[in-house]
Amino acid sequence: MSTQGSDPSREASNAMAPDADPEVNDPGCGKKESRGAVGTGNQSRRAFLGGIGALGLAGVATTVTPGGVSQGPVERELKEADFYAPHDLAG
Amino acid sequence: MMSSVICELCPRYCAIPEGGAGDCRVRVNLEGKLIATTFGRPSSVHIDPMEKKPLFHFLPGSPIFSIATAGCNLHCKNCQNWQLSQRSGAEMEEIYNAPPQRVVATARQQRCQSIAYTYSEPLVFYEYVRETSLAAREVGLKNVLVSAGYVNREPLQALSRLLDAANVDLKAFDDRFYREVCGATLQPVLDALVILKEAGVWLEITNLIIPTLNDDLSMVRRMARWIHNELGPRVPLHLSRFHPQYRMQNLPPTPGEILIRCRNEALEVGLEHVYIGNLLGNEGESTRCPRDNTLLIERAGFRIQQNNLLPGGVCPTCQQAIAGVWT
Repeated sequence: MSTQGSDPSREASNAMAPDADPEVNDPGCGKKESRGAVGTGNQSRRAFLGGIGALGLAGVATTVTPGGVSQGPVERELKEADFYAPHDLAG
Repeated sequence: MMSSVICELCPRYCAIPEGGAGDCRVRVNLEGKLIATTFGRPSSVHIDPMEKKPLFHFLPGSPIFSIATAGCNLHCKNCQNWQLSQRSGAEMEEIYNAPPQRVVATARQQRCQSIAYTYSEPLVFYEYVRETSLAAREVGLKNVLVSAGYVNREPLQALSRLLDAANVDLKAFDDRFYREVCGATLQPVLDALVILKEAGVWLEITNLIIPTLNDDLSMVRRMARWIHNELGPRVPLHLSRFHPQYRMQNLPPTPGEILIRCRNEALEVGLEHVYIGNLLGNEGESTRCPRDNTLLIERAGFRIQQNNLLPGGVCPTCQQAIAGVWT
């Protein structure tokens, strides 16, 4: 299913379905909040990536490319996958 | 007031500003909460032979349902999966709607005994691995982690309880290599190997041999000695052939002769099973009995040509039990 032209709220609902809760809440890899911005050399890059990550989570992502704005990922149902398609991914 | 979040998953301890992402690109700070954006949203789903992971001593010849999302906390110049690992989820061409229960159900439908979290770096989609592993365990499926092992102790220890096998990429026995080629450090990876071993996870190690960068025989010897002393001689080591990839196109593929020398070095140290990967038609593809050299499993690439092991992984000649998970 393409995200193009779809209802963003529906896509977001899919992404945040009860069985797909992505919030990190495990103490082993959890979070510490600190008030106040933490400046790092990678901050602007992280902000950009966070922005597109958040958009991807909502299912309404667009990807900025040197040629302009392109379509984000196409969302497919797992059953649509060709599991035996040749691929050369390591691991 | 901006609220930043520190991700404690890996040794980077990224301080993520609100609206930003960690170094892995996929763990983001949304309104003060750390969110794993690729939870339930893999971009690669395949069924591979177990030998492709590579795992040679774990359910040999069986198909393994393999999933990966975007993202990685390493940035290896020679990455073979960079289109997947060095991007965020939103930069993928495809994303599958695959919550944990659906992954498990599909793996069973496809008659896979196990699920691999692999290709990119599964530890950056840690919560997805954990929840899927839990669901898999409940129905008797086995969980396999294929990872670079750059993770903090606590989360790995917790995850280890759900894992049956792991292949960890030990990229070089050299901290400088890790810093310069991968943007990481060596010690956390060594710690991860020990944690997995101590947790009883079946462990195999892959070391990609890159000409001039980590093919020094003395380094291979030191690595093999460390594995022998800290993990034991029965942990299989896969020495894989490098192919020019991504940002490392300036080096040639590893000559077969170098791989054979490295293998001999590791065998001399006392490791019982040292394999050569990505090089078809060599002696280092097959498993032999460490006691009497009987050919136990003959392989050609990822294919098993013959399996002579007796039930339970026993050598038919000397009755030696070969380390591994065979059924």
